[in-house]
Amino acid sequence: MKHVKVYLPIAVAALLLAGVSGCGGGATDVPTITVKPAEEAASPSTDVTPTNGAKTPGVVEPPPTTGGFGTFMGRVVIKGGGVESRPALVLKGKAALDPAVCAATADIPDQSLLVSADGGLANVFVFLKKAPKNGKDSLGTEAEVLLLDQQGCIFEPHAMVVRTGTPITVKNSDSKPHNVKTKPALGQPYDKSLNQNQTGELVYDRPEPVPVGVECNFHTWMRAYQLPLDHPYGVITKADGSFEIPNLPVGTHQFVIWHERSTRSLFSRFKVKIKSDGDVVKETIEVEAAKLTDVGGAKTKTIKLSLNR
Amino acid sequence: MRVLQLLILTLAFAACLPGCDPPESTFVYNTKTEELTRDVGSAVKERLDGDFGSPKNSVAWLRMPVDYGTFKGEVVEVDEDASSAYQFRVKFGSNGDEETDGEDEEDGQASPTPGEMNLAGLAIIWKSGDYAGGSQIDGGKRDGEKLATLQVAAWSKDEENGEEGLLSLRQLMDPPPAVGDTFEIVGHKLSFGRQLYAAHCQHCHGTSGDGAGPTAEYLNPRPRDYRPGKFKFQSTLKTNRPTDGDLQRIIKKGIPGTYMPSFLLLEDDEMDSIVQYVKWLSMRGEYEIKLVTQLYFDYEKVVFDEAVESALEDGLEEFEDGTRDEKPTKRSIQDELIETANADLPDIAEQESNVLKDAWTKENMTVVVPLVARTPDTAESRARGRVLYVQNCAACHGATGRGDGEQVNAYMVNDQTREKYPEPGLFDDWGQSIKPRNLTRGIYRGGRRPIDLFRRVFEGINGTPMPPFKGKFDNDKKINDARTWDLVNYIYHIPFESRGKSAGDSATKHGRTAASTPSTR
Amino acid sequence: MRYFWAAFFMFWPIVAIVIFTISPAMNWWFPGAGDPDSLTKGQSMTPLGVDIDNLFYLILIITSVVFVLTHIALGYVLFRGARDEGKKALFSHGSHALEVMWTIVPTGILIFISLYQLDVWRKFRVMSSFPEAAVEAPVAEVTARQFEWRIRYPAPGKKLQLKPQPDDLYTVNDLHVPTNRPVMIQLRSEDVQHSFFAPQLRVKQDALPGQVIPVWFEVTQAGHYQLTCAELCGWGHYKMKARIVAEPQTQFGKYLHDLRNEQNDDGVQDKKSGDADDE
Repeated sequence: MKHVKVYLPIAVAALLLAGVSGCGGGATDVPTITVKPAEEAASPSTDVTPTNGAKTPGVVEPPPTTGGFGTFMGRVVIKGGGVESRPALVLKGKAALDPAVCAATADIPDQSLLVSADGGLANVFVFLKKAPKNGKDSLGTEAEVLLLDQQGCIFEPHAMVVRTGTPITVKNSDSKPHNVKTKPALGQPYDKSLNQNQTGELVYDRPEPVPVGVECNFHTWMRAYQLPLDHPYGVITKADGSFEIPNLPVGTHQFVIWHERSTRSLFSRFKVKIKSDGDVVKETIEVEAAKLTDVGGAKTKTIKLSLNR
Repeated sequence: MRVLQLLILTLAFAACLPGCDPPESTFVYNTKTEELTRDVGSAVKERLDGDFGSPKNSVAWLRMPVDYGTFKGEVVEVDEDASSAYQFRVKFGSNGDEETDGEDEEDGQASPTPGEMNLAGLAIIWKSGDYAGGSQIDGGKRDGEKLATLQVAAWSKDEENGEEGLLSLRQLMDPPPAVGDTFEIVGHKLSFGRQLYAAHCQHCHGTSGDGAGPTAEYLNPRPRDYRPGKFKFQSTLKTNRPTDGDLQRIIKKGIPGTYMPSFLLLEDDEMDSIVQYVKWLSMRGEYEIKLVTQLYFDYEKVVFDEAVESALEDGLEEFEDGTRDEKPTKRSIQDELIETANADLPDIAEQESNVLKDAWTKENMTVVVPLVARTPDTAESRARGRVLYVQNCAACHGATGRGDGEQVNAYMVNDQTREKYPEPGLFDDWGQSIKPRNLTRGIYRGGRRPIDLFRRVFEGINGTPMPPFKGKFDNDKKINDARTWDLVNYIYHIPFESRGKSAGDSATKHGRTAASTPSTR
Repeated sequence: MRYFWAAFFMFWPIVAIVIFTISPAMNWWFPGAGDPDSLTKGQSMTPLGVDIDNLFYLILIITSVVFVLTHIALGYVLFRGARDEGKKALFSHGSHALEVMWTIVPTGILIFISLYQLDVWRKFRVMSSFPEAAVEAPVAEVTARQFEWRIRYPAPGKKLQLKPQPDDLYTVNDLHVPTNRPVMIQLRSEDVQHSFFAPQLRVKQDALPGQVIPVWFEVTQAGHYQLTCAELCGWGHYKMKARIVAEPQTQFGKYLHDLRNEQNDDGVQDKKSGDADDE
């Protein structure tokens, strides 16, 4: 027992010493630096010949075609129809801000889910991620002026497909200030405040993988979606859910079908096969209503009040 | 009894060993990176680690516009008999005669010398001699065997001559460098910056600059997450990155009204190193985000599984048609898709790193300079400013400037998920609830100089709902700037304007002394 | 081991004497400046600080003498007890006279110290005895907050007001004061309790939220002095490192002038001329 008396303090002292010396050294660690040159020498890992731009996975290289173009057309409809229309975003005269201008004469409708009487779904983006080989680039160069107007505190149009580099004129037709703000995932953001009848120019510098939300920081309910692409193969569905994409080269294409009320794309690889020149592929694309409900609207929370804790 | 004693001793020592190893510092990956299907996710991580490294083994990627810190030097003496060398005598500063052709003229001043600095761990690149030319990644040993970059082990300066001394390397050079070979030692700012960052910044801003250090959760507002490459208070356009000066200013002055304290007393070289390290961290974070964004919509776990299913169906069809030789399996289809991703990744990385490089290049930044000098702070100017304020600012900042405009009751939509935030009020790009500034308190986070306020109004605040009012007040640029100054004059006046009204309130509320009224920050 | 405790208690007075002897040579002074080769070495840079130092030295001398003497006495008794083994200890019921003595002597010393220091205390803490010049024009308001020192100067030529004024000048962690005249600052705290501590100036004053506490000092030598927080105020307590820069009045005026120019920077004017800044 006598020895324990000696050993115990030693053990405690050792513990303390180790604590003092061994801990807290993390901050003073000196890192090791390696240099990576600005330009990579051809590294052995890139055996695959680099292609121009990234490829969409799963694209089966189209067999060498003799040319020829087909059309992909159809409708996007809600499966089984019958979707409750969304309640208005802002009731007439009830706007939190600028009630004299916003929702002054009518409710501001919720444009995030527009379903026609026969179930057609509007504002669905149908597009190819990358331009197909042998594509025709002539059709996107329409001289039409793209305009994003703000009137009655609503973005007009609500959805738009745009080519990169093509300017969109943004305009404020209201007597109250608005701003137009985008935060693209890849490209340059845009933000501009506008007085009545002032205009600005919104240009996307890079194609985006999904449509970009457009917002106004003055009126938080205002929202629009724009999809910049570097090729002409992208459209939005009309009010009845119909769409048409012409000039698709012969081969198999995988379309992305995207709607703002779905967290993920409705279809990330919707396959369309153009067999020969002049081929018209007609599809009715059915979307389950449940897929369109998972986004939007603050979920109502039920709070139970009780006297018992 | 002896057993007992030994046991106590052993246990005591054993207890020390695990507890006292400082936790390994590592960079964390973005949540979205983790959501990628496993193989693609790890390919992205590998890429990221190859290009930026870890806190302990950092990579100075020369493509990025970061000043990693360079010392230029020349070998002056090598042991002649040795066939290989770990160490040799070198001279820093003047860089030999043959090197004066253009390369050094950029800064026009003598290149810096390391002095007493600890160079251990820094990279060495050969500029002339046998080891020069080729990538230093292939350096070290010639002929076949490859080493990673050579690293300095130690540097001991001569007593009498400040520029000369003995340099030792961690790796063996076989054969040794020749006398007169020039080299550069790269990365002292990165290394020093990392050490300072660890001491001063990382407990809030996190090791990877994700704003999630251990103390972060106690702070409101939360520390900045630099990874999206967005900085609120900058002198440049909203779409630009901040300049080094902007970052320095924030570190020096702190951000009043937040937990970001002032680090005024850092030495100049410390400040410079921290700024470079923060930029480097931000680039790493944004690089990761951009890489993942490009891949996310195809390789996110759920989407990827769907893609595999559909590709498998196609493959089976093709197999039956005879256009495919082998019967595909789920595994083979997965491998095919992942191979596509791996083939794409270098191109994506190339593209995104170049975008980043351009974004952070100083020449691509535009500093906001008003076209006209500040309008004298007169009552008329303030009155004009008040009109602009009511039209443009009151919606958020409130009619009296208390930050209580109607917008604080509105519901914003989260741009990432396209869902409404569950609570009313404004949110920033990081998903944090923020309030419009209460302008009656005279606290200006981005600085209180007129130019600071001008820039906040003119370009807005990056990452927040504060929009830029550039060109809004008038279509003529000069008049617009003059109007902006009117607004700035009015904003300066707000704390003093409302005092008359609120003095009574605060007196009754606080009871007695003037001391109890809130002071300046 | 017989003499262990005797040796043990004799050891400490020896250590104390050795330390007293070598400390000047080892430069173990209070933080301060002063002429390194003279007696003013390690002296406070404020006249009041010198008084405080003198008080400290007085107490040090008293306690050291008492410490050394009592330990020698204690050691001697232990030594005697150990040496004369077998000898019976003297038993007593106590000595009234002795007890009175060792009660009265320390009491006297304590009363002496408490009276002696009153004057320094009055000068340092009682506002009515602050130098009038300092009270009249406080040089700045220093607000401690987690975790920095925010400083507000009045505009050059104006007086510091309790409430912020439009033309006030602001800095952080960098308090400039003129030398060779008493200066007063108004000390506040924004959040929790802090303590304004300038070791070289021998100034230490707690900052309390909700109170404005005047603190005065007079720096006799230009230079940079440390300013730290001496009250554990939170996890970032150690970050509250700041400096006091003492400089001659002319330089101090120039500093305020430059600060005003910086504060009125509108991004345009500095290209034309540095001082066209009249508001």
